[in-house]
Amino acid sequence: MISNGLNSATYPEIVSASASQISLSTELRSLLLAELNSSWSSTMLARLAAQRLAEIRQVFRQPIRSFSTALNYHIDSPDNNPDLLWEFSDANKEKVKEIISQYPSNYKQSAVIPLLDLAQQQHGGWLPVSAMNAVAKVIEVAPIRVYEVATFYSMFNRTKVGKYHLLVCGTTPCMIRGSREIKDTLLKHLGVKRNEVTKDGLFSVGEMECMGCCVNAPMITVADYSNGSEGYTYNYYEDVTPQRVVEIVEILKRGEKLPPGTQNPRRIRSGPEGGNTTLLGEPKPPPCRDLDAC
Amino acid sequence: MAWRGCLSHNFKELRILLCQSSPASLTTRTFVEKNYKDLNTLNPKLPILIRECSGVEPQLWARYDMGVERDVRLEGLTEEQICKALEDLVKIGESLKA
Amino acid sequence: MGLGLLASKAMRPASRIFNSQNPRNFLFRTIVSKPELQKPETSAAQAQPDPPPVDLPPRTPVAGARVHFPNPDDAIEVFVDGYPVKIPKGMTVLQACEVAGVDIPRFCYHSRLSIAGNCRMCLVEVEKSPKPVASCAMPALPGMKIKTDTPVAKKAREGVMEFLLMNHPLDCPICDQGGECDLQDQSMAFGSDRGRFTEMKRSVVDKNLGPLVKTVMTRCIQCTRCVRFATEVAGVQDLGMLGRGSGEEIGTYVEKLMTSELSGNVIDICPVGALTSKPFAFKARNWELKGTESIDVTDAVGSNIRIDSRGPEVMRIVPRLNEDINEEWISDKTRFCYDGLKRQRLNDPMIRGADGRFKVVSWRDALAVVAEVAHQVKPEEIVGVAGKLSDAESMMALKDFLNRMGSNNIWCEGTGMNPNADLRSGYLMNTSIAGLEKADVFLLVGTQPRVEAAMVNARIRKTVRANQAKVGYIGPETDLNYDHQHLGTGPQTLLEIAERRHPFYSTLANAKHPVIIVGAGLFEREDKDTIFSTVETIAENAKVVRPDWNGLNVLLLNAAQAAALDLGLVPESGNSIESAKFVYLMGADDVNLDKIPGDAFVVYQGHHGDRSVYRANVIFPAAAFSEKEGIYENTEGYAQQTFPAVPTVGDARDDWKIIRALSEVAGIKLPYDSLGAIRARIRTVAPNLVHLDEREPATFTASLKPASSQKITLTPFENVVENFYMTDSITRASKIMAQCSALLTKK
Repeated sequence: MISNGLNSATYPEIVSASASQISLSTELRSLLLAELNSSWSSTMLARLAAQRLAEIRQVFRQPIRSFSTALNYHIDSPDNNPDLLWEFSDANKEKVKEIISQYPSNYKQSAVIPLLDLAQQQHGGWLPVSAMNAVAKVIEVAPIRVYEVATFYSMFNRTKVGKYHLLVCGTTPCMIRGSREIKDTLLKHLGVKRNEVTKDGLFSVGEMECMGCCVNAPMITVADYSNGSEGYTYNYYEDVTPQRVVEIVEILKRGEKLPPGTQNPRRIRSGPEGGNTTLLGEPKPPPCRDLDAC
Repeated sequence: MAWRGCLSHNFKELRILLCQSSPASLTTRTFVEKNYKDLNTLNPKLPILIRECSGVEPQLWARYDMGVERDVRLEGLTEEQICKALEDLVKIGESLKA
Repeated sequence: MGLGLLASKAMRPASRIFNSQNPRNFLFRTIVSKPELQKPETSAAQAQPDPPPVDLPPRTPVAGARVHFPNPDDAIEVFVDGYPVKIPKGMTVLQACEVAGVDIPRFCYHSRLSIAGNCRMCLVEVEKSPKPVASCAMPALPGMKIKTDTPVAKKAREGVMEFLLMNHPLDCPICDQGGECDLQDQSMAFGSDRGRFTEMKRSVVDKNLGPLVKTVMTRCIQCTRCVRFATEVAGVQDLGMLGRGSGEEIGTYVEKLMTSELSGNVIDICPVGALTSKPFAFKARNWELKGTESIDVTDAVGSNIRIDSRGPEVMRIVPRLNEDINEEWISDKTRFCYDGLKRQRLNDPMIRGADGRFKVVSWRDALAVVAEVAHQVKPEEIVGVAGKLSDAESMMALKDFLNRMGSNNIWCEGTGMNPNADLRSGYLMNTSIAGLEKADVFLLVGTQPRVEAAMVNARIRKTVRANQAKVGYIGPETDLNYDHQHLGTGPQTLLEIAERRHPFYSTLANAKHPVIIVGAGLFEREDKDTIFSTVETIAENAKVVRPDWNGLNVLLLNAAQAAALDLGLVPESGNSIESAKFVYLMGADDVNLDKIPGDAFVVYQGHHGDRSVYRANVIFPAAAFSEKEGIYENTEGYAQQTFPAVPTVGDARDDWKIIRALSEVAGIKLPYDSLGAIRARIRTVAPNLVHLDEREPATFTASLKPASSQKITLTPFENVVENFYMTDSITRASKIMAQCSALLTKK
């Protein structure tokens, strides 16, 4: 689902395009009106034309498609270019060895995703192009094969993120349960746009697809890169409300830890609010299995 | 067989055209196999061009000075007859020089 | 368009609405174009039972598709539209349909690339399958009943087509692919006449792939053919599929040029106009072009090409299918050298005056001057050199002319000072290019096939990928685009292998089909006879040459070489040029001009004002390969001929005609006046050259040769081709090739 944040105001060319469409349709309508004498058919046509006009407007009122990932090509910048040296840390080199040992020696390239993940954790939550090159070297493939994987998965960030990267689930169940407000609240509270990092470098907000917590929708994920790959956590905070996410942000800002899971105090994990309502007793076995009854 | 050594005195180029597989070229093929090394060693400077082409009639071509050429058709000839034909070509070369 | 017409167009649907009960029909759009397609499942059921397959007319396989049964027991029978076909096990449904003569529309499937199965255009109906299946990726199973023209299949194609066109821009009028576009053709044949997509089409940033390939990435339909080509055939892993979903795009991620010598082929395999030729951009429409089937002369491979011309101008060069030589690829040099044909051309006979400047003269005067000088010198002071691009006819004429003048000093560039042309096996690729695919071990001696013969390199790469063949390479450091062992740089390593001291020897000796490829660059070495006999020793020890397999190959460098050696263009004395008084250069631009004595009279006959023109006293303008009919023999001994695509420039003439005319002026008239007559003459020298489009293998192997007694020197082998893009007078005159060498060759 696409956020409403990208309205047409940010895209002036869309506005002008729709304006020209409108003027064209008006022209057509007046033309038709001039050509037709019958007042009945002219009103009929006018109505149809107006309907079509409304349709065209509708098309442009829809938010234009935007993509959750960043650009699909690399632009050199001082902190992200192929000339920068990037290496796995000594501790992570051990981990790299262990990860690769899990795959057959002739299929080293299978380790691309875990290695990219490790590199991302080491590099504060995002992958510069030199990190991808380093991974390519480790698994002995052409760099482009790694770029393909890194651009495919939205969990790999190719631009800078905050130490706490907040990901709001935007898939249908969460959206129905109010994920849009949650995201808007987060963005407003932090004073950033989507995929932008706060000035203090602590937070960034992104959007992601379903994480499978629909029963506790809406949910956010906090990827914590504040302690490198050793202290890396990726926690779900479920049943959040706009108030609660602000609290979560503040807790994180203070450097405190927060137990993951549902934020609704009246629920236990994914159980129903206020305790179980069904299956309260020991379930009866099916009659055919009740050997004593026979 | 002294004439073998004077090939390069009389010839500028010797060409043997033959087919890779046809029975008509069989004797020519064995002639080449048996004699090429010898001829080449005795006349290291002389180009002895052996040209295979499927279906071609075996031929022996000699080029003398000033672009004069003579040829012998080798179809049906035995190895000795091919040797003889070559010797004849050498003699023609001598007569052309004279 | 007049106002009335516009209004009447608007009226027409309106009048239908008046009759209709439901005025909403005006806005109701249906995608299904035929009534039976609206409910394909039911009409498919109605089509049952199948008509008995008795009187089906026999069908011819698509594009002459050949069926090869590796094992007759593995044949299975499938039914395509009720027509039974026998195919080998493991073929896909699409291939089975091709054998049955049904052409299945496809975008991503390409017979020479791996299967991707992502365009879905090849959907067909298979009986008992609940959904249409992608025929390119589905193996055919015994008894499968494939239906290609049922409503289900047709609707599936229509649907796929609609999806593909959703994001495809409607810029066919300004697209260079227009007229030869798979998407255009197939949307006409299989697509619907309308689409339901009303949103914004996506747009994609264009990529810079270098001076040869123009990209309009918005047109891309993500078939990934180019990615697979670059990865599998070209061996440069630069292209990839980036992003996901509707944001997916082809690119290199980081700014990178495509540094492959085969990059131009992505233009051909791109089914849409996303990758087009940059030099050809907006130059012509394909239906304006006249295609002439010809042969490439920029290297010794003899790739089959089609020269597309408009009027007197060569507009582009595209490959032709030849399974034995270039499959369906050509190198970038072949494809883009054509602009060199329009630049630096010699178009009039010229004589250098006393002031050192050339003066245009008539043919009569030019020939008279040359004939006179030729008679003034001693026969042994006459020297003739044929160039890299010479055809067999002209070399024959030149040889006959000089022989009749009494000179025997004639050779072809690149064959060295002391060539041995006795046994054809000594200078040909005896395995044949296609035969390389059988090999399991390669030993490259002083050759860098990637720059010397890109198409041969592509075969080696194919073999390395398919058979996991091992490659050993002896020569200067180079970048071959497949895994190889760099064994050494010079004859030292060769001697070690010959003496069985080198570990690679056992690899070679244990191979089933070992191949040794010796570079023709070694012809220029002083110790070439010894090097060749060393290689022959290796071949003998490692059983590379057997009655059933001749794996000892020479890779020649230029188009004229094989024919020149076949015709016996062998100089009587290797250093005759140093004492020459009359030098006839027939398109020879790479001779060492410093060696020609200062008082020698130099005639240059050729089509380009290249290096040798600066030394020439007389210039005879000749026709380039695109303007004449001429026989060329490639490195494997496959004779082919070029055909004239465009008229000659200015007063230029065919090479052999010039020599024939000169011989008449010189009073030693050559006995041929027509192409047929000169070919009859060639038949008495090297009859294999007139057996066109056939490979005449050499039967006598090097074992007949006496051993060489030369001393081997240990100087390392050298790079033979310094710059892949500029090797002859045509490519040196080409602007595109100059751009390529500036941008793409590694410094």
